Amino acid sequence: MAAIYSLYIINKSGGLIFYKDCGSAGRMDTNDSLRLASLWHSMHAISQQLSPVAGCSGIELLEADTFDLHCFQSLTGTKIFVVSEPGTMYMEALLKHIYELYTDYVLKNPFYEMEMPIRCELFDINLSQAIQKERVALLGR
Amino acid sequence: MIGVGKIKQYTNVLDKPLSKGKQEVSLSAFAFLFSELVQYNQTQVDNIAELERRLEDAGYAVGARVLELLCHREKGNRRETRLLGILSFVHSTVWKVLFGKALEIGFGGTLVKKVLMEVSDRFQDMKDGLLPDAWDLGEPTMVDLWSCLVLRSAVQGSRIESLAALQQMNLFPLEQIKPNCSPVADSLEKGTEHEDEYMISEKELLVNRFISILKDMGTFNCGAFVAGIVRGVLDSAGFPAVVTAHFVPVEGQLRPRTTILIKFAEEVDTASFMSDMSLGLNALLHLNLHAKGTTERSKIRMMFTQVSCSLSLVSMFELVPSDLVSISSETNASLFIYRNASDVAYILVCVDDIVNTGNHNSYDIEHISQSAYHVVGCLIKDVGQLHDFLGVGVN
Repeated sequence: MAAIYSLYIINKSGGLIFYKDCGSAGRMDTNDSLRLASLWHSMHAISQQLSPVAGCSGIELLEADTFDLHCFQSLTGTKIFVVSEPGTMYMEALLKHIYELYTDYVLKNPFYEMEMPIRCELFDINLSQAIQKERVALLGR
Repeated sequence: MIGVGKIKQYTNVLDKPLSKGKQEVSLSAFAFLFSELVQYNQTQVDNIAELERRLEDAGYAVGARVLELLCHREKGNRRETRLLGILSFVHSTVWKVLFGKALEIGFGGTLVKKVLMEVSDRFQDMKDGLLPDAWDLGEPTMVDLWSCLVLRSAVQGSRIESLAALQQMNLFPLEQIKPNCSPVADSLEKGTEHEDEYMISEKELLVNRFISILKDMGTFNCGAFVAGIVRGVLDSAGFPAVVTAHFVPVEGQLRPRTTILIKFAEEVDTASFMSDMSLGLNALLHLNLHAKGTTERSKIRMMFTQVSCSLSLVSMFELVPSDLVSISSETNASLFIYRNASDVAYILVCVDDIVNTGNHNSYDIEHISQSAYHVVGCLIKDVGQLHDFLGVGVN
């Protein structure tokens, strides 16, 4: 029972740089995930304009019948969003933690080119550990 | 009040005192700086080997300066002339100052740990000029004791516990590890049976903490920078060496360990290792003299005797440990057997007695006693033909 279905990281221009799916449900092929990422990027930008008050920073949570989508945008415009089961808690904290892992193992890696797809072994390892810990903690609560 | 708390201004930067410096540096800041160093060098080269060489050269510059600074700050301007001294300096002081942690020296057995603590306590006493005249071999240091214990473990090489202790030490002379003792030692031994090679091993180098090597870069290791630092330190101290960094896969662990391999140049005297052993024995002997209680004394004496005789045999006959078969038991006896095509010699060591028998004249007791004197600084008296031993009559 996976509380988290999938994880996406998109760069500041809307291109998908990292995609990970954590369960059988919601699995997508490459093209679909790319389309979804750019679609989300546009919707996120539009929502900032739609807001009736000034200073809106975009969509943070999208709730649907069968899933929740939590989104975190960093100061640099990199967006990390996760598709999860409805009602999953503590996703914001997880997103922030994943952002920390991103700054550590991706940005400090000299062989990573900015805005390119992420191919860092250490990032993958630590990400799996974080999600695993999250899963265990959720079952425990 | 005017003038209170005002910092003295120095006109010339060379007049400023060398401060202790900041003890802590932001890891992230260092990681970004190092990442940029690697990226910059990547733009200047055509291939991976060239990149590795450039990183090493960058580290070399650091190493040379680090040696000067640490000799002034930490060691009180004392220059290392012994191989083990400089290696120990590298793997404890340099590592502690640069990377914030000393590589641990592990020891097998609580007795040995106790001995080590005792030595560090007694060291003060010895430093106060209480050395007897007979021990004209210099001041014993922690390095001496440690090196002495390394040799003991190595000579008793068939015992797995000693090897585990050696592995924990993170620094061991390669040729003295027996090949069939452990998979880690195996992978390190391949192609490196030279006695001038030493290794420092660490779970993960600090510079590699955030770096993931791409698959198509092969065996490239950013630890080449650290290897360069070590080479800089050794070279500037007068021990020219070739230093490289390697990943060593460990079974059961996802990430490989990193090993810094140090291969000394021919002009470096690696045979001085033996004289370091003798200093270690000296330390042990001092310890023996100061030990309280009979059980402690006898344990220390046992260790001392075993090592001293192993040592005298090794240095005298130029035997490598694989030629020595040591059957150690829980009592104080150690039996050494030397065998080659035509000769055989049996040497039995028991606390402070040595019994020697064999079919070759040159392995006689005089030879042993001479070298033992040279090595351990104590006289072994030849009492002639053996008549009884441990209460058993002998014909």
